Amino acid sequence: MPVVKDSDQTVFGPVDGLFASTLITISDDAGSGKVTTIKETFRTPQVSAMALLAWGVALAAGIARLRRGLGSRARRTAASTSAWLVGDLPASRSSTLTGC
Amino acid sequence: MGHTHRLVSLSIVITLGVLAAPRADAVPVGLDTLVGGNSIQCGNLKFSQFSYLGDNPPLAKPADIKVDCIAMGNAVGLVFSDDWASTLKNGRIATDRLGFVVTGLNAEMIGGATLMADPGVNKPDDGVSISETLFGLVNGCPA
Repeated sequence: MPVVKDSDQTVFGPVDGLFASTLITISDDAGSGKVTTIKETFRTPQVSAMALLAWGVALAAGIARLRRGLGSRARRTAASTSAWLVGDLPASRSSTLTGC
Repeated sequence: MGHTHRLVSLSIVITLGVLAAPRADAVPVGLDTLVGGNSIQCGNLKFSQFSYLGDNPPLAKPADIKVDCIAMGNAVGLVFSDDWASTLKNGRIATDRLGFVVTGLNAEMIGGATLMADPGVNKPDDGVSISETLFGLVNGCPA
């Protein structure tokens, strides 16, 4: 069984909490398999001041368009929405966290 | 992508949770201390509900595993240090399982994870694999 990889990273829809489960597996015929460090890091999305400003400008513009469009049924205002999407998390059928 | 990832494979973990457990912010600490119900704060994240389930015999003992904070760029996390190795030399595949919960100290959302390790072998019939599975939490339980 060869060494698969020594690092991996991923990005996912932000969640407010995670249960991290790590398996350390060693197939050992000759006794040379070894691990000395395991690093698990997590990233919290940064919301920059520019992003907040852009969001505020877009919101103000949307409100203005909505006010202008209230009397005009012919024109549709495209609504922009944003949401944290959290889905497709693997089922934890075998997880036995206390109280769960 | 909107989903958590299976970096390599799936896993099973038994975790001990203790309400109102004291924190163990002085790092590094032994993993056995954390499995006893303590938590660690690293940057803006809190790590708690540690568990370690060793094979028979275990690849490493929780009391020997040192846990410390690590920062890499804008990510923070934990580094576990010890010598995980099999002493049987009989071709058997041994597996230990490590589990913990990570949450934001101020309700920060978590949007990415990285797993690093230094697995090594120098004999053709040996092999090492480290895998991490991340589960979202709903009401404190894996979703």
